[in-house]
Amino acid sequence: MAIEDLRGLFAEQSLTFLAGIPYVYHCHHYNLFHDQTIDDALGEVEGARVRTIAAHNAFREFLSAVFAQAGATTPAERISLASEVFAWMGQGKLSLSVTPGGGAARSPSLHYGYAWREKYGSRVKRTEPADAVAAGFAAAATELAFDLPLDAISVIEHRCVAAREAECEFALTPSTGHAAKPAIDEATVRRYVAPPVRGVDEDRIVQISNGLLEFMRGVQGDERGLVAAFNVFVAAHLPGYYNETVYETMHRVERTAVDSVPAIEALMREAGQVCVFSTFGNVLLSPEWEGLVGPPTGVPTDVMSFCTAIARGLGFGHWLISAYEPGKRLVLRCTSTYEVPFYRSRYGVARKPRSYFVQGAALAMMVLAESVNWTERPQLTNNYYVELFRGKPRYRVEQTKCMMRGDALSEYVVDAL
Amino acid sequence: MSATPMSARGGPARVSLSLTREVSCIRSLAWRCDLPIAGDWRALAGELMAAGLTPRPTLGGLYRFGSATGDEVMLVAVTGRVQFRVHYTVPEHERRFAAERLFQVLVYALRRL
Repeated sequence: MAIEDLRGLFAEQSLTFLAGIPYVYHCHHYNLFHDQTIDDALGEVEGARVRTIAAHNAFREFLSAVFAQAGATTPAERISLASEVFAWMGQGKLSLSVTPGGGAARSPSLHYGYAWREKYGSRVKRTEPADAVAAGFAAAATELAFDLPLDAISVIEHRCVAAREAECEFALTPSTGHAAKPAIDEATVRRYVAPPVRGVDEDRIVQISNGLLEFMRGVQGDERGLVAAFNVFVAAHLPGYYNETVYETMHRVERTAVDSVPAIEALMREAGQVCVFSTFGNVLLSPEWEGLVGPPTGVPTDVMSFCTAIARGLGFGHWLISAYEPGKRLVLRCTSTYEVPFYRSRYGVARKPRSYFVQGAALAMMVLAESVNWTERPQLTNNYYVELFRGKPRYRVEQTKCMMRGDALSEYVVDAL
Repeated sequence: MSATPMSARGGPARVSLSLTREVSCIRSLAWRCDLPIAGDWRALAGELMAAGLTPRPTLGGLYRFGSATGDEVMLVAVTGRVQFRVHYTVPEHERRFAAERLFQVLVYALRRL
């Protein structure tokens, strides 16, 4: 069975699935920032632990579904298919040499480590490994290959390309297993969406997002298991990873360091900002986008529609513009996001709005629409990010409705200050 | 780098090109030049394939080609934008030269039109 045949689309909600498990696309800027956010909140050691566990859990439920759909039953088949799928996703090419008692894995090209070195390597010295996602994947693949329970294998990355090593290396060792939680699959996701609603400029947004979805169907890892597209490294990724890291971190901070909650929530929102600035911004400036839609016009209403279309095209859910007054106010709504099904099925109903990623994304969409001169083809550098987002605040965002809290849909209001 | 290719008969130049660094988050990876929109894109695509580039999956009005070493050339017919995307494994200090080699392939293809 070809990996492409494992894809599924919940079209009216712009949600994408692989073997019935949700997946989305994010770029290396967002992925690195997301991981840094978790480490900033918990510290490097605990952050890496939480990230590895989340990747382990996410890939455990994903690979389990892949093996079932593909009919992969032997250890050799499963290891081979797992590696193939990981590379197809753009996560990197990882060689696994394992038995039921553990083993080793290595790679010269993993999405996180390779992209970190490309982005920061000439300026920053790093000693901690960067590939918690690959580590979690390796543990999950080994367990499932030999029909072991969850957490029967523990993993540590002891060499990393980001730390100037030639290859990343992982050691897999036996551990104490326990039962896995039920998977968050397409059936679960469908329980936590609201009926789709038409927004402003809906027809054009649908047309563009369909074109982008079609283009993304052809995107897959190269011979190194990486995807260079839209002038960034892109990877198909499991929302389960993002969600577990974010919400486990938030819940822990709420239990142990209440005074830090506003700061950590702001960091989580900033990850959404970084996504829109880096991923959406690079998509808008790419030849791929220019071929699909045309060059950026710089008209704020266009930018807003384009950002909404990109969110849908990357599988983030049914985002819609409920109202937009250029320079004044944006009301963004979602009838589905990749955060809601995870939160509701793992933690129940939230006591407060929890969709940090979209909160930050909505604010950044306003900034991109109002403050960036797109016709001048700006360089989306870190300095430009700081200029746009870390100066005197020009907008504020409030999530006024949240499906995690039990509201009928999610709503984000961005107002000019 | 700039080039002013002559027509096949040695007559006046039909295009004037310059290679400039493109917006890119991966250092020195993307380079660009701009062609007249009215060009014969299908014929140019044919010449690029004849020069050894391989067509890749596309979308809308975009032509994409890959080189044997993993570099990419993208042509946006509606705007005339050409992007040369050097493979990310090329060391940073060699990326400009790799882009110039791709640019040369384009220039020679234009000359054959």
